[in-house]
Amino acid sequence: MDESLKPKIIATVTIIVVAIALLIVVSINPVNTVGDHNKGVIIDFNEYDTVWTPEELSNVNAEEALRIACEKNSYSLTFNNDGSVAEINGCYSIDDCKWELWKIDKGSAEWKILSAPYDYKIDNYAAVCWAYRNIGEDPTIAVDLRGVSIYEHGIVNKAVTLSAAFTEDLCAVNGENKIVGTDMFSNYPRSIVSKQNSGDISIVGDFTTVNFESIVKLNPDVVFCDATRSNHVQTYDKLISAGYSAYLLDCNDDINSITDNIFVIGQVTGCSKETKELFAKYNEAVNTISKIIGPAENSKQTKIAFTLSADKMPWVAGKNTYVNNISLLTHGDNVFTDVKSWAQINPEELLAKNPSIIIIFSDTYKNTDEDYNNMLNSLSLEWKNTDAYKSGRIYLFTESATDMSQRPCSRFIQLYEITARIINPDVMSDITVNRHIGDDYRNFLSYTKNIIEEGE
Amino acid sequence: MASSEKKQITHNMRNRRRLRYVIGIGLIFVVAVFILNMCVGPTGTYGIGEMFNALISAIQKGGNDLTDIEVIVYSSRFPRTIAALAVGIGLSIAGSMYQAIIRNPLCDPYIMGVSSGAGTAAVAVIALNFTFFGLIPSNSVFLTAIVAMIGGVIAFFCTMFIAEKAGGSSTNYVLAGVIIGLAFSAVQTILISFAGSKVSNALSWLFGSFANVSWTQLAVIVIPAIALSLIPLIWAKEFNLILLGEDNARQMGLEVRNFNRVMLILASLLTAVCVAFVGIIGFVGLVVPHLCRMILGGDHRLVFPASIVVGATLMMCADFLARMIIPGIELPVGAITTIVGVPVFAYMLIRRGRSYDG
Repeated sequence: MDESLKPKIIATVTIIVVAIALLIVVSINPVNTVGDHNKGVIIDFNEYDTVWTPEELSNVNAEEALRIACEKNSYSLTFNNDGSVAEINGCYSIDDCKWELWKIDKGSAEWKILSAPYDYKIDNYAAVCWAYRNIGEDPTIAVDLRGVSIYEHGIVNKAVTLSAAFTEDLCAVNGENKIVGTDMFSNYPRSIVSKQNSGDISIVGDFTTVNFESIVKLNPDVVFCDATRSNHVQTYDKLISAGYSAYLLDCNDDINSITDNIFVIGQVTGCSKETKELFAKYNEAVNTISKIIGPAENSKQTKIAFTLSADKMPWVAGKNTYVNNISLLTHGDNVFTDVKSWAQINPEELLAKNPSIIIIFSDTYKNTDEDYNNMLNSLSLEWKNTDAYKSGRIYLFTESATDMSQRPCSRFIQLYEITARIINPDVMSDITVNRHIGDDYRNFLSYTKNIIEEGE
Repeated sequence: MASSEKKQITHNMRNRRRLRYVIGIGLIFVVAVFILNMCVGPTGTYGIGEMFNALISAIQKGGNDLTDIEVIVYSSRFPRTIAALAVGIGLSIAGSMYQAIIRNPLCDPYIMGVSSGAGTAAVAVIALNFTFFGLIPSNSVFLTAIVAMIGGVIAFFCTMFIAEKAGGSSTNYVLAGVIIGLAFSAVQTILISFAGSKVSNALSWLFGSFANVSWTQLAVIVIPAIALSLIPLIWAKEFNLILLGEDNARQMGLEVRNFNRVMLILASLLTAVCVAFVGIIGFVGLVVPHLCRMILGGDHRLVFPASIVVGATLMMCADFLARMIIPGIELPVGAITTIVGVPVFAYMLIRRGRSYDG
């Protein structure tokens, strides 16, 4: 080796060694993502009927915490001889449905059951809950995905929602006046758009990015982030490390996830009363419609497909989608449950599955007879050979009906009613659903029309 | 003294003078753009004193209990501006190294397939929760970045393997890099088609942005990017020998093959580090070295330092525009870099293209 190169080699190696040493030093700093310690106990009567006793219960075990909570709420409390809970406020443990103690470890979001004796110190966990549950069911959601409790939040006057679904959820629980920032796709209720245009609500993000600085400028009391979006997760981490209150919610494509998110948003923003009222309306509507269409086991399932376009090779809704949940509830048999989520299928598949009804969610077309007929004429032969086409049961959801259908949010109940009407026209004959639905989709609702307001 | 020696001395003095100008003006620009980025943002403009006070106060508080302005300056503007500066330097230096070693004017930091490898690995994490067979914890804040970095390095070693087996010439490296890049891009396309609702996450990463750089990430970007960018400065003279051709460089005592291999590995690591946290940002690594050569000639003792200041300035300008063009919305910084850089490069090409051969 050329001797003149030695100093250069030594300098190069030194730079690399120093850089590695510095990296090791900075990597040792841990990232704090765990919420505060638990400061209370939850009594969960099932169906999102929870009671939080916000008392500083340090060094109190779970059984003592339950006694204190029942006393404060004037609930009766009875224990069995083996130490298990027999009854709380008239709600008795029976064979399949029992009172059990559950916990969430710090930094986790997963409920785990605890067995007697119940001498667990409650401040060792992110959440502790006495829940009345069927075997195999988890208690109601109590923390966000990073284990931050949803019960210990202060008063919220200014909220930022980074997803259009969360915006709709907050408005559904009467929290619209708390919203000071949204993503650019939040467009429902209409009053949100008016406020965005007037500057009362700031737009703080788009499809691929979130503007951290714009959020901070709003000085929000809480920010709701969608865990399925990587840029939201990064923003959440930055907000938490900067001392802001933020919640990371799982915006999965199923009805349970939707109702969980509504519950969390309502609880955090102080709208829990309105949330309970909303859920009561949901239950009433579902019960009414279920009675009309009859129980699923006695009914013939109708083969149905949900697509995102009228293309020869469309994207279709698979098993883990909330429209699949809705089709199950309305006696529909989604023909693409062999597909996991939304997926693009081979053109032959549509013909092979031969659905009797196809619902297309696409805002490519206008909500007019002319556009609908143009869409039908443009369909490929694979589409035209399905029973759905032959029987004239291809439905087009366009304009704002597209958002209602694709956005996993509080309006799922309205999609549920329309889908029930499409699948069961004989028993729900009071309103006939058009083959194309757009901004007028509320005209095809009766039981759920007033559950979610349209806004001015 | 012979007239050719006099000419050489005059030439060297002129180049040194040019370097002083470029570095001096460049540093002024770097500082000015840094201050601009720190003071001006979509939510408001702060005075220089106000901004520095807020930054120093936030640092003294250790990032806790900050006021709004302190959060904006300390947690938002500072990390992204420093990251833009470091990535601009890194990509420009990597581009200069590739162009020198491969002696092809179309070379950029991604010529070895690093961007395709990193992009494919990042999309695999995003779409399929790929954790390199459990080697990296799925809840790690660095998961995507680390996997992207590993993906980029793997792609480079695939390129190197093929190129070395084919003889190890510059042309072999370019061709091997192109096919490996295509192969990884094809896999990336397939993965995106399976991403379903996670497509937006994949696009977010591929578009490139400094918006989400945090203090924790900042050190992991800046330390290796700056360190690896310093190394070619030490070896600038050897890079000049390479320009004379392999035979001439060998006659002058340089082990050309080994030197090229080591520098290609360093340039690829540098590129992988740059893209891992902020996504794929093109153009800078291609154009900045050319711009510097057009102004200063081919001497790498001048090109490397000049690339540092020009690359840093261009990237910080791009990041500034990315967040300011539509207030509240972040535009893809890779696209902005190109939009800013094309007119500058076109102007230089028109003015100096006749006397410039890459």
